[in-house]
Amino acid sequence: MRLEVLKHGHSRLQKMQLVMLRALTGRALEPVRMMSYRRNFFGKYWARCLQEGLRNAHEWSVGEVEIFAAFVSSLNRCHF
Amino acid sequence: MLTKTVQNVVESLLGQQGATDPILRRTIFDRARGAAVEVPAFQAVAPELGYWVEKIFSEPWMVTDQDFICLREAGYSEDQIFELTVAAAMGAGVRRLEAGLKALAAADPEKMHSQDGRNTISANERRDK
Repeated sequence: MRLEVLKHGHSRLQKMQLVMLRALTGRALEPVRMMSYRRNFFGKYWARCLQEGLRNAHEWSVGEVEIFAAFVSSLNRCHF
Repeated sequence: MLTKTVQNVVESLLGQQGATDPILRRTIFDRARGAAVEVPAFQAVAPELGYWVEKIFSEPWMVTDQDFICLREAGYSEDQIFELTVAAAMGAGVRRLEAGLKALAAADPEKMHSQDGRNTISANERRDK
């Protein structure tokens, strides 16, 4: 994480949610931190895009879409 | 061609007041999207940003801590870096999305021009076949 605001700039409620997420998963995922920070600027709308792309596809199953996403991420050398 | 959902992201990202000038965010977004932004003018305003935008677009996995240090030393705040990075990344993503949609339209123009593309076989229909 290279921006301090993405570590410490969240609201109190978001910080609690991130603590719970860390407790459940073992880590607070960086994409979640990024999308949560100033969510009205970007993250709230981006989350809807992700939902549309990953969950609301008509022609591909959720599993197929997730494979596409994983493949593209691997090409971009992205862990997420 | 972009869905309303994607347009909403772009409008929110580029239309709101923030730590950076919306015009600068739009310029960076357009540059990453592949629009004909005048590079000399862009570079004159913020030369270090030109390098940053190109890196976000072409090899984001090569971003290092040093890149952020350079931007901080150039005078950008963390919020400014956040906004500009997201604008560049969104522009790069939209460019790829538009390329994919264009390829789909070229492959099957009839499907792309239908209202909602529902004249195709759904995943469930494929599975049941």
